[in-house]
Amino acid sequence: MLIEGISLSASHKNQWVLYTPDGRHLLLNQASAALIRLLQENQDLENATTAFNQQFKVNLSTADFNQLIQHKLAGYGILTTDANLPKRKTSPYLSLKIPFFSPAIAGILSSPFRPLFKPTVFRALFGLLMVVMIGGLVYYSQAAPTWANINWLLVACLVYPAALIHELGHIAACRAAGISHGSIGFGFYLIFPVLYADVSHVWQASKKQRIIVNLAGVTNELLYATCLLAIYYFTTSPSFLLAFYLILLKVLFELNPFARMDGYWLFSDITNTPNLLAKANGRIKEVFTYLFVPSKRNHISFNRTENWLLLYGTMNVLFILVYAGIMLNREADLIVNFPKIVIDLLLKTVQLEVTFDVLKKEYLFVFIFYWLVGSFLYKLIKKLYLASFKLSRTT
Amino acid sequence: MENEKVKVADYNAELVELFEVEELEERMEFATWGLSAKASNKDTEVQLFLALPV
Repeated sequence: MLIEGISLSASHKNQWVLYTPDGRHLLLNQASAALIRLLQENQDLENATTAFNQQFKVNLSTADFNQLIQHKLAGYGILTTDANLPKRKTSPYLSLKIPFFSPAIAGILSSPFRPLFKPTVFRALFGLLMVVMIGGLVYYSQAAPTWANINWLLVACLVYPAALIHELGHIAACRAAGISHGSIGFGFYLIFPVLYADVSHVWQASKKQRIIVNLAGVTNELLYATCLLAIYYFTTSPSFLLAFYLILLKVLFELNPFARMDGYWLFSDITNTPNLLAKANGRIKEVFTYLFVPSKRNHISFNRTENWLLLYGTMNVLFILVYAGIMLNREADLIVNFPKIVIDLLLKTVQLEVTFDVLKKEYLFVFIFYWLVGSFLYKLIKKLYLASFKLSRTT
Repeated sequence: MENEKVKVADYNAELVELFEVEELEERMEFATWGLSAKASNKDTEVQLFLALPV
């Protein structure tokens, strides 16, 4: 009844994580985990029914037990009857994903950082880095760099590698905990360009291990920033001090609990709320429907957990809107004029007048913006069309 | 995953509710690609953006 290759590992407080061969992770309570083990031990439906009835002290028929299995476990790709399911879409929230370090290469590159993420070493290191950061900020607060003396190319060369060092931290922490990991790559989260490290397998780790993996990225960056501060101390080159400040600012941004940055996973793990964003967005939808769509109004309850999910979800939406607004404002003129620019470029191409000089690098950002917004609108319209089609068939 | 026609859920809802299964989201740890720092106003001010400076 169950496919081969699924594994079960203990998680937080009587919860279990099931890993499927197609890369899914399912969170199970004690009863569901017992059911999975029972199905692993009894592949035959009749034997499984007998074992189930004994273990759960019930008297289900084979047909009813089969219904229960289908009701609870179908659709996750773990039952043999799920063989014809459409292939699961990976990374639903990451667009234009381009992996550039395979898991094996990422593992090799992360190996120098691995000893830092043993729990005892990590705790000491993180504490020390906090002291260095605060000390550095206080001590050098009067030494704000004079912008005229900044070598901007050097600053860029110092700051950009921090993103890769960050991702190698996550991979190193996974390796230190003995957890397998995925690749490192580039992609777009909503309209934001990001580097990513695939650490989905960390669901199989303990809460403490997950927290170390979450903090490993910023720990690596802080370590790097400390090196830059030390170089500034010996050279007094203001570019190193500015790079130090920029990386600190970047770390603070990454620790925010919104928009699936590192702080999001940290917050989700500390509060034991898996699928935090999905739950918060679901809550917003529920309240919105209650307030504005009377025809679909259901009973709605307001307890403490649901209230903070609503608050968190609302703040997350505001955060994304403000951040997207800042980014779009930078290229507002270009975004508005982009259709005209594209038409001009096409005309020049037809007239064989196009040269590399007229192509600007900013066009790439705006093109990607249009592509992402276009694909979002396409999906939305398709969803609305399918919903109205279903509605018209039922009425 | 829900199937309203399941008989066992009708007559033994308590048993069915005993089993909880939740699919977990994929975990992609992000890093912003970088910070761009633009000098402006004749090198007296600096604007910082958390964005890719393409």
